Amino acid sequence: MPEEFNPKILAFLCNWCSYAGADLAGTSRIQYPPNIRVLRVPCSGRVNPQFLFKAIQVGADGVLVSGCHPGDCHYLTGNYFARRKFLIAKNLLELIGIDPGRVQFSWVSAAEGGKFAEVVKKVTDKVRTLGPNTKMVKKKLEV
Amino acid sequence: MKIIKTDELLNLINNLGKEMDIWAPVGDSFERVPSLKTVEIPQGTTHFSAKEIFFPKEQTLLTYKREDGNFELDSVPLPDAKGVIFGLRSCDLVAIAEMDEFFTGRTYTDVYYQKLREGMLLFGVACKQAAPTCFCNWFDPDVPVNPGVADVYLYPLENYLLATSTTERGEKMLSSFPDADEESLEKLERFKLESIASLPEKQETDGLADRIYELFDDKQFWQGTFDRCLGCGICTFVCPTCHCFDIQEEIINRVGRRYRLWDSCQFSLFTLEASGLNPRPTRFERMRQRFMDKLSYSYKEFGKYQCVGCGRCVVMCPANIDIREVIAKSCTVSRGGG
Amino acid sequence: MDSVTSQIRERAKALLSEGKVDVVIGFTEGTIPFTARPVAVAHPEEVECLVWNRFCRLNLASYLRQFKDKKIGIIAKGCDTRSIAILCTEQQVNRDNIYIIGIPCEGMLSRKTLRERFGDTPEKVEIKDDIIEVTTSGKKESVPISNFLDTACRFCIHPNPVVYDEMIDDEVPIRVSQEEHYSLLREFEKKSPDERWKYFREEFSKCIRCYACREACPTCYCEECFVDSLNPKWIDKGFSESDLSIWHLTRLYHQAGRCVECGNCSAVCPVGIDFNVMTQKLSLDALQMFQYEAGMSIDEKPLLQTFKQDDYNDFVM
Ligand code: SF4
Ligand code: SF4
Ligand code: SF4
Ligand code: SF4
Ligand code: FES
Repeated sequence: MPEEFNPKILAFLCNWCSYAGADLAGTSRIQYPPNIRVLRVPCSGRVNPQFLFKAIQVGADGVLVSGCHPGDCHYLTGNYFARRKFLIAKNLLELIGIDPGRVQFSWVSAAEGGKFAEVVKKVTDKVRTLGPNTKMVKKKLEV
Repeated sequence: MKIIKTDELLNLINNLGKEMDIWAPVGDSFERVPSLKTVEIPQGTTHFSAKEIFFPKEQTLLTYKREDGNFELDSVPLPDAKGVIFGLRSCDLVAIAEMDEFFTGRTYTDVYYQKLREGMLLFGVACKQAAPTCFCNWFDPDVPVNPGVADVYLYPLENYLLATSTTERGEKMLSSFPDADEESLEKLERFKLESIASLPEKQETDGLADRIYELFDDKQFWQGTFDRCLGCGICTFVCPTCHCFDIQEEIINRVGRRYRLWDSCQFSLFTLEASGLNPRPTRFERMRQRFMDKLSYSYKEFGKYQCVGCGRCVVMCPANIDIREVIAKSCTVSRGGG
Repeated sequence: MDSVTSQIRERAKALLSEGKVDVVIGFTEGTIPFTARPVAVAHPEEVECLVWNRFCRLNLASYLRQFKDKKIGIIAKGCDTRSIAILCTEQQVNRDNIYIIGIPCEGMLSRKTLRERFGDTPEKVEIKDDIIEVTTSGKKESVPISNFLDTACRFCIHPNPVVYDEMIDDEVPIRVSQEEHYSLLREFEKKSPDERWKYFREEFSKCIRCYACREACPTCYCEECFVDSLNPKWIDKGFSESDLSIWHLTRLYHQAGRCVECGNCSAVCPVGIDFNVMTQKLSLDALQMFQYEAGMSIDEKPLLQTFKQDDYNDFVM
């Protein structure tokens, strides 16, 4: 049997909600797959779509961006702007052949430890079925 | 001068091809081909020049590893390629001579260039008929039939070719072929005359370097030309003599490399200084720089124009900026006492 | 002389002599076949050089910013007017300083396609109604013009000026329906993800990084483009498939809600990368997801600088 594929997923979590949600999941001992590497950001609006492209470039098999629910952004509107940007970036990625399952978004509040675990599980399962990403990757220098 | 038949020439090159790459004009540029099938090449020049073969648009200069904050030199990957380039035009050969001088002929020898250049055998082909955008004769009337730095230089007559060489290795390759007879030499003379006659009327280039130099501040002169430049770098990328490069670093997973890539004086970053000052802040200064460099500075510094008259930038510029007009206009301006 | 050309000259002359504008940006005859070149005319006596023909391919809005301090007259097709509108909205130029002479556009011809068919430098090129006559090596060929329409023009749904001060000539009929407009994209989206990636990686790997697409794009005007920024360094400048893809992906992403599908980027690319599928995608997303069309008015906020609370949300978990 080939070794089981363990996807690497980069998660951009908003400091004010999803990051705390992840914390809550941890302290409440809710199990979720250990495949995510968390990057804390001040707001989902901070996530420049370039980050998504870059994550894929350096070898993430999947990317998750998670922020506060619409209406709950600490900075009031950051996630509304983010939502438009992400949709367009995601669709462009899909157009050039990168499966939309590899770039996902969620709204998770600080109180939603369970939802956070759920989201991570869903994303991990999805990326696992998609297999390692080979498109647009630059893991090694081409000399 | 030697006589060589078409199939003999094909054999010669395809035999060389057993040990080295064969490059030939394919569509827009020079490409590697498995074998040469024809000695006919299209009129005029390819859109992209052959410079990429000696001066790749990206070239790794050295690689290193990064451990605990230290850098350790890993390798200096000197290129090593052998090839034969078929179908160079005489203007391309003039350009290669200029590249040689720039990279290896002055105070510093660029080994990366030198290695690739030395590995290449150059087969030039004289122009039977210039293309409408050719103006090599403005700089030297004999160019289109001039062997320049070719190892082997070919004159395609009706059903065979005459060949000559300017290098030892070229001479060796030709040694087994018969010398040209009287009749062929006569045909050659006619070929040369026809070729030269196919070029446009010569514009005066005596004193061009000074004329252009004096026009530096003459906004009126550049107006109409500069208003149009988009500042893309196409002209410099297709130019066979443009040789500017940028050096960059790139590190992934602790392995890094230093590499060079084509740069262009049309880019704003080209002259941007660390202080934030940019001495050529707008497209206008950058557009002017190209003409100053090609038609004036290079001549004043090194005695050669950095334009060989191949017409590539004329054909490729999306905004139709035409260096021929700059030269022609500079003549009328000074004649008119301006 | 063609009537549009003469009207353009007349109007340019009037505007310049009345002092309404300092300069008129338009097209003049090129020095090589299949090309009309942009020109900026500053004196009434120079207007005779202005022409209008099927080679007026470039989007002249790209030139506006460099005449910022002047009163500018500009000859503008449908797509040009939309780019101008965006530049105004984004406060790159002042609408009050711009006098737009709109020209309904019958579609421009692609220099690239023409060259592929007839070579770079045929002896003679003439256009008679819907036929283009090209003489190469003494041989004349007549071919319907429609074979050489630029891809962007073939699928254009706004050939008539959208924002203008005056319009020369009557509006032209719109050549494609909203649905046909996206047909390139629709066709492309039928491919599998792997096939799509194969297509794009091949397209992108042709790139020589001359950045002509960026320079020609009227809405790529950043003082420092992300690709040139060294701090932070967003992207490496080498030729790996990955860097090339990210360069194009990001540039196109930056055009979301701003791209007017003028096709300038594809037209100027010296290695012939075709961005039309991507620009159609940007346009379709904006329209479908946000009921937004780039450059249709100067009062509308740019797509990504605004939002609605009930924006499409189904893609978020
Ligand atoms: S510029 Fe001169 S040498 Fe070059 S292709 Fe034209 S005629 Fe030949
Ligand atoms: S002269 Fe032409 S090719 Fe060169 S930078 Fe200007 S627009 Fe581009
Ligand atoms: S991205 Fe291309 S098609 Fe879109 S506005 Fe810019 S130049 Fe025109
Ligand atoms: S690619 Fe993006 S950053 Fe670069 S000039 Fe265009 S819009 Fe600006
Ligand atoms: S603060 Fe959480 S999305 Fe803006």
